[in-house]
Amino acid sequence: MKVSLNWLREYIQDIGEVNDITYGLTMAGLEVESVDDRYAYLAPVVAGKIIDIQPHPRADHLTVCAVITKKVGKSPVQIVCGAGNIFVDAIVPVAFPGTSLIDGSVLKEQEIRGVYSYGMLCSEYELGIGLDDSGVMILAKDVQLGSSIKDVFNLSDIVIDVSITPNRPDCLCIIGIAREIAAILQKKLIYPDTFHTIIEDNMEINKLASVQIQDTSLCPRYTAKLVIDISVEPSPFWLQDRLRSIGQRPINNIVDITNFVMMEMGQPLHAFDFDLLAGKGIVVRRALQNELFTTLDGKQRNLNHDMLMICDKAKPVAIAGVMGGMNSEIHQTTKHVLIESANFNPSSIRRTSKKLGLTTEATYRFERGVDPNGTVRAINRAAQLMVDIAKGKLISGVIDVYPFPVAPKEISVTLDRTNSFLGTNLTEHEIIASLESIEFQVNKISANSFKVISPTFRVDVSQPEDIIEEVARRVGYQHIPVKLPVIETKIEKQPNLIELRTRTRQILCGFGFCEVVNYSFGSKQDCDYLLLNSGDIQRQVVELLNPLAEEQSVMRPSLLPAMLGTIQRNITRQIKTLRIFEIGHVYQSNGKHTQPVETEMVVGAWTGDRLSVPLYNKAMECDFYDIKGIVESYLNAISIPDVSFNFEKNTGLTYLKQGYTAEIYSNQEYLGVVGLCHPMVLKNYGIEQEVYLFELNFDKMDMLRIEQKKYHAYSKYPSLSRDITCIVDHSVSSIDIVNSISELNEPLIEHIDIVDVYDQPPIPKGKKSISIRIVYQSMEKTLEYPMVNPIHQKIGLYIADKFQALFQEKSDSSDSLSLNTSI
Amino acid sequence: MQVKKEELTIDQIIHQALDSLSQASTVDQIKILQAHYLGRKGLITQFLRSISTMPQDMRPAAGKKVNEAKQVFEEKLKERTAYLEYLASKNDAGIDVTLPGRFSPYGTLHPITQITNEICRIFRSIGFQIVEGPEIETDYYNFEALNIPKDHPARDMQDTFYVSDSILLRTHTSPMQIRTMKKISPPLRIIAPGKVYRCDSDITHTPMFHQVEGLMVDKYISFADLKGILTLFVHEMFDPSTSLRFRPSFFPFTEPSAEVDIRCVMCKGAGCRVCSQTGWLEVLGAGMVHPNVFRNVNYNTDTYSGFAFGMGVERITMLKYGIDDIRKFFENDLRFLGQF
Repeated sequence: MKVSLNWLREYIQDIGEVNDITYGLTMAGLEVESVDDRYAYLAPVVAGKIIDIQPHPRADHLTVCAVITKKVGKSPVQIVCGAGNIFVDAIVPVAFPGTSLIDGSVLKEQEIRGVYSYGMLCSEYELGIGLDDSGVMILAKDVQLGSSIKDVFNLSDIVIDVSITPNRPDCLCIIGIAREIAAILQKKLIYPDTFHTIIEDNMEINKLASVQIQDTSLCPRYTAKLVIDISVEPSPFWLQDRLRSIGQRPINNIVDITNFVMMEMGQPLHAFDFDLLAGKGIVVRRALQNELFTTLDGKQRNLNHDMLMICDKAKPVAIAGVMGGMNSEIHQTTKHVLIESANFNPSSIRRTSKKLGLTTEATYRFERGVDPNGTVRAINRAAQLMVDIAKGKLISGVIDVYPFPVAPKEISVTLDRTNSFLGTNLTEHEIIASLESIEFQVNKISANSFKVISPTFRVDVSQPEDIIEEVARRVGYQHIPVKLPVIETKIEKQPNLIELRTRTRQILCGFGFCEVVNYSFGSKQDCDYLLLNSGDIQRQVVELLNPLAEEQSVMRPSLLPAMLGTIQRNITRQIKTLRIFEIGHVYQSNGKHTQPVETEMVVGAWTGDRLSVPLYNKAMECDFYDIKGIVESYLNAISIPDVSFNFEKNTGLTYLKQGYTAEIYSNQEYLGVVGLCHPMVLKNYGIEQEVYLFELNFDKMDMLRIEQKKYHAYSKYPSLSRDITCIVDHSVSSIDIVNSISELNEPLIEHIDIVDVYDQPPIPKGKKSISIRIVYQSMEKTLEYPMVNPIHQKIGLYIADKFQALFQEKSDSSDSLSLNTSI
Repeated sequence: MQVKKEELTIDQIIHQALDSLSQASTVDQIKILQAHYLGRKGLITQFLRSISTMPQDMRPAAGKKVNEAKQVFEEKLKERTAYLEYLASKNDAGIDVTLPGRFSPYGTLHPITQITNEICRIFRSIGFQIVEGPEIETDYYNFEALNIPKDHPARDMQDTFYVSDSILLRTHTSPMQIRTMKKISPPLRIIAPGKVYRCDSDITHTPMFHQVEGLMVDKYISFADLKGILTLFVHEMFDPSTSLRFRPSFFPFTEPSAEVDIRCVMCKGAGCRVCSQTGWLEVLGAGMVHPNVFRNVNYNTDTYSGFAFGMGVERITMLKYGIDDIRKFFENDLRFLGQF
């Protein structure tokens, strides 16, 4: 809401310093967003003297003037002018290129029919300081050359833009803001006079017109007044100027008056051409389903039964509280005007406005709430102005349909409650004074309690806390003390999931992974890009009704697309080695009207080099075992028990490449996957290098992780390592051999490592050599070979049998047990 | 070192030995000296051996003397060796230690995570508990229960993404106020960090951003307490000398409501581009919990009062690190992420 300081002066005398006003408003909850010098645009327009006038060589109605704007120095400026009233020695306003004019245009140096014009001689209309546009403004002879027009006419006004929160519709008008300023500055608010001087006594409105409300819940009040014999003309300068000062466009005197009063008092008004109202009556009713109506802006609107219409006896003439119709608009020829000053149901106006996509100054106020008791004052003010300005005659009386008058609310508050709620020590006097300054009435009931009567324009006030808020606001939040509450001592355990998340971030950071945060949105295409099967559960995406863009039209079913997007973006910016992770929700629809399933996931990706330092890393790219190592260590660090990796094919995983992917389980519970991103998926996201990924279900890990760690005793005796190297079929998984050995439950086996895998010649094709190191250790004594050898041999035989393994001599380790094929 | 050993006394031998030792300039020379005096045919060794040929009564004294001398020499020899080794080590050409280390993992947490953690740490230290909840909410929890009825203009304050009439992307983490209060009786102190969504995208808005919302309910909680807790927070988060300004504002779920400004961290109040020349930065919204909200969760408004507050994590992060474009957070350029 814009307010002009000059306009405010109408209601507050000696208004004082702008800074006091803006600071006071901001600290009273009416935040000042900007403060502008309204006439700043006139500062560069200066008084100049025409020293020569020559006819334009190629245009009869134009002249070429030489103008000086300084007494001495500076050569004259050549300006082409079309006005007929100029003469040599005339002092005139001169605008130079770059100056903004009242119509919003910016003056430019231009060639006018072959003659250059380096400025413009202005009319008072062009300068926005008067209505005369018949010729160039001629200034007084004694005006000093070069002085700014702003100074010549002493033009000064400040426009303050105030941000009005939705609870304060009473401040959507100049008087509402003036009321607050008056309270802040402790001055008196002067209301405008609405006393009528000219009344056509011989006619009474009720005999000429009628109003009928069919739906009083949507229209609690409808007030009408009739002004006859008006003449529709442009408004006088002061009225146009008032509207312009707050950014409104003048139209004609009748419309301008309704806008002016709305801006002044906050009550939206509408003026009907009375002659165009069939039956001379107003009927307020709901629209018919699919009723068509053309609003003032020339657009045809399709209405429904929830919308309220203002009709005459035959047809709709306005959408109530939203916009009038073409069919009853004020015209040049309008003679008689019926003024509407009504009150409408805020929710209904809001629904209608939303449905029609039509927001007006009226809907903005009605949907927030307009004082139901303010209709008469506003209509009287408008009628008075129509009499004064449009030379109309006022028909006596008013039609005021107001079946259930709204009484001011009475609210009880106590001194104690107010002070304990705010933490203050306000006195009774301070509370009463603060409330009375903004027109609340306070009646003292007892030493501690008051009855507060809230003015009806304060639609936001209905309970004690509302009153306390007003007290706080008026006292000033800066005057409420700063205290600290005394609180109960207790320890609240952090939810496990949060701990897990923190730990995960630390670990992955330690592994050199950078955390990324992507939008939770995704594209509908993502499921296809991930090659998801038609029945894949991730295809049950949550769609948004009002997305900002196609690529943000669903809630992401997977963290991968955004991850790949991030990788692709970085690669195009020449960052080709990335280790990144993200923790976030994925969403799965549960039907349109229930909340979707949200699952927290962690996804990591590694692409490019294994080591970040190229020096040690000649062309060593990361591979499956790099990322698997990360996952293994991570799961171990967060205490996920019994982790296993499943390499079965045909698991339904589509976005990772088969044979390079493992499913991750803990105790048969599926946790996620690790592997190489499918090349087609990479292609879909515009990536031309391998990307290794892991994807883990955070919620499940939170459930499965072992919270309480237990100490396990370890041996104080040295261990003994023995290797087994065997040749097996290529299809045998190393882990199966290791697991088989574990399953033997030999108590002396401390742990088992795979130390080498080799499949090049001389190993026969289709085979591979695997070296397994078994570490033996006893809790009771130092082991010696003779104690271990039989066990080791047994294991060797077992593997030979189970995996059709062949054994080969291995001589590089003295600890190694030589098992040969003859065993 | 051509000496006639028969002619030399032990004193002379030792003197000579120590002299040679002090002149030895390499460890190799010392080794030669060691052999020359202490080796199997070394001078000192031979002298020791020769004691057995001495008269009986002279042997103990001579033996003692030689052994003492030998000990002195051995010590000096060790010393000299260590010293020469030390000198030699200084001359070792070594390696180029300016080359980078081999394995240099350096992961960073997203700045939003870091600041969220910091906010949570501060509030946890004064007894607030972290609560989390769904990002896709019902209209009831996101609006209705928070005193934002349907068809109320307050809904315009937050442009909402809808999934259906009743399901939407939460526009703030305030639904956690309701979810928590429905579960737990007062007193309570919670903060709710998380992602929130608004249908808005330009240079200063992203459709997804992060919020931390706080709520404290107890007997006799006052607006002055709200000022106290938030002042504590701001002083911890920014600087203990940061001034705060509480201004009346409007949020449907608090009353009285306040916006909290801090003295501009960039210009210290002088006025700059970041604070739009006002000298103040808006960082928090807050207020006393609206009685209608308490009624919605069946809290007794006569017994309990409370306050709630909320802040945008991006905003605070931008101020903390001097980031000028909110969209940078979600571009995830490694050159950005690596800085935090």
